[in-house]
Amino acid sequence: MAFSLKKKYDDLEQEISGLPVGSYNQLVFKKFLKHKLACLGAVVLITLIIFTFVGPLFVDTAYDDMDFSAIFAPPLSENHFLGTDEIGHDVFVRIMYGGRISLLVGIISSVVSTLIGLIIGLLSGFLGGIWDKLLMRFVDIMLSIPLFPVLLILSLVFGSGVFSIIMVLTVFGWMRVTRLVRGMTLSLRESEYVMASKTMGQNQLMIILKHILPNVIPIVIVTTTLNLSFAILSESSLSYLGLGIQPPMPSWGNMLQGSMSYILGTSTGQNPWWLTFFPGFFIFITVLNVNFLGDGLRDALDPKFVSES
Amino acid sequence: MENILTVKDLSISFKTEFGLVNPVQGVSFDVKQNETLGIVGESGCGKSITAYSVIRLLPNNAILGKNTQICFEGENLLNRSKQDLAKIRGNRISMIFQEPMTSLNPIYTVGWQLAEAFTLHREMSEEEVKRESIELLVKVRIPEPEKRLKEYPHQLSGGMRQRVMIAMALACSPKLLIADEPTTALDVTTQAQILELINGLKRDMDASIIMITHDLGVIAEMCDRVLVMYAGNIVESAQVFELFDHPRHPYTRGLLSSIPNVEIDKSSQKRLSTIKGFVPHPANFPKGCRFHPRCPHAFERCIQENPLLLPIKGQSDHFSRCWLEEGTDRT
Repeated sequence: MAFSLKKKYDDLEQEISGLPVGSYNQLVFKKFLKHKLACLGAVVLITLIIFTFVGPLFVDTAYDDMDFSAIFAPPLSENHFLGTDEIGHDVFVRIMYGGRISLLVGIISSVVSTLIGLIIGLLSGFLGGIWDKLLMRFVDIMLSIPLFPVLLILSLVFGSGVFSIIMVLTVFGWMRVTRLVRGMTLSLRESEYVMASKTMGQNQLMIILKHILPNVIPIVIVTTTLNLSFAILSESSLSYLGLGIQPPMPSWGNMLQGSMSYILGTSTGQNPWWLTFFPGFFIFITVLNVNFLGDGLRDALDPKFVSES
Repeated sequence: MENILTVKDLSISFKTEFGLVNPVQGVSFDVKQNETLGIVGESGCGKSITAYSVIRLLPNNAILGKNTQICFEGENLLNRSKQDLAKIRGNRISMIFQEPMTSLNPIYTVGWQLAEAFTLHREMSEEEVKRESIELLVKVRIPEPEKRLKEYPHQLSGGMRQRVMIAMALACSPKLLIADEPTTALDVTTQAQILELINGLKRDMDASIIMITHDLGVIAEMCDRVLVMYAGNIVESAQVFELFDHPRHPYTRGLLSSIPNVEIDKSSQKRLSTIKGFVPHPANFPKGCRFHPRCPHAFERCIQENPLLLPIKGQSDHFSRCWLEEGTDRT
């Protein structure tokens, strides 16, 4: 009896004070679960990943199988759940295969470019002086390179393919993160707790890793999610320029691109809206849920943030 | 008593767009064992950077003077390597800051930050760290220490945070504690508690303190000896009672007379007296005595030459930097 009373009292006290209990990781997890949209985002993204990476194993049709008996078949027609395109490719199958590439390109290039940006930004902000100047001028140079002519040249040099598109998006994607992280590092470097840590005899590397990096992470996570959407979208325009994913291999981007010729209807007067809608819908769902996820992660990682519920 | 810290001819200059500015010049002082030395002055007098120079944490563009010497427990800190200095910081000299709200990292628990303070200088197991952290929190009078260890800085009040800061500073039982306006950001009742706490801990731990403040009340409460700084110079130094009873330098007198006193002012309907003007920017300290533009007693010589910090006649430990001493007591 006494025990349960004590327990009740503790629960009550916790409720009143609003102070959460548990280790840091547990708290982060708890807070994340409270964020409904973020949970939705996580579930949807996991489903998408399973759908695109495992799904094709259960389907007999390959992405480049052509069904000439069903050209421009609308969704829900026989054998073609989401319809077919101008040469009888099954849209459903291509969405699955295309998702593999789009997600792979998006995730790898945004994560790698964020990591590069994070490291360079931290170094630039913390070291300051000549290093800061050199690195920031390099960022300026990278930002001032006109992207498309360079992409055309790169496509000639490296050819097209998943690897080269990931590389290009990474090489040209880290600068914004760098500037952001550098700015934050500059202000955190002058913060009193960094000073306090110095007066306790902490060395520079540990100050960067233990005091500055964790404070930068929440912002970086949000930027990564934005970068991810950007990467998925720019993959489509790069494919159009001949760098990246070439038909018949599908990606959400080049499926969307391919449908552009029929957006005003085909020569026979049909309007194959499903060719535009489904790739667009999947890109939209992915980007939206990545942003939900990023939002939830940021809030969960910030100990000061207490959810309203 | 033995000197634990000796600073000789400390000059600090910065390269800026105005050229070389010199916010601290020719400052010499020492701190004896078990002593609390107060450094008082208006904002911008060079108090804080004097203190930072002791633990060698000046900004990178700071240049120390050629004849500067900083000796701590007999070793010259100026020719120490970075690693050596890191071993001294936090271990033998530590620091408390003005702003308890921002001096703790918001993303770590109190326990984590205390553990950092411990493990930087000592090899300890996790349980030892926890046990000693709790002991330390008890020492700085934080209630429910076990619970507090798991809390984040934003869950504590200002006074609590300052206690945690003090606990961190004391983790390795330093010989010298530098307190940079430790109570400025706190409300008055909390201020009194924190000062009392620091005083008590000093007695227990056998440490010396450099107390930087612009609050003469804090000085009266805490210090044994006082340095009054103005525009990068020490203008007067004395034992605390001597300074309050017989201030010599016009700046010290000005500071003392600008303490508000409810009773006297009410009856006489007098306005609170102030020192007119501002502390000059280090880039344009005036020629001659740096206080002369604001000094009510300034005369010709004050504009020409800066006086030296010399003992007042008949007293070995009361120094003043003023030409007025020349004609009267000084020979």
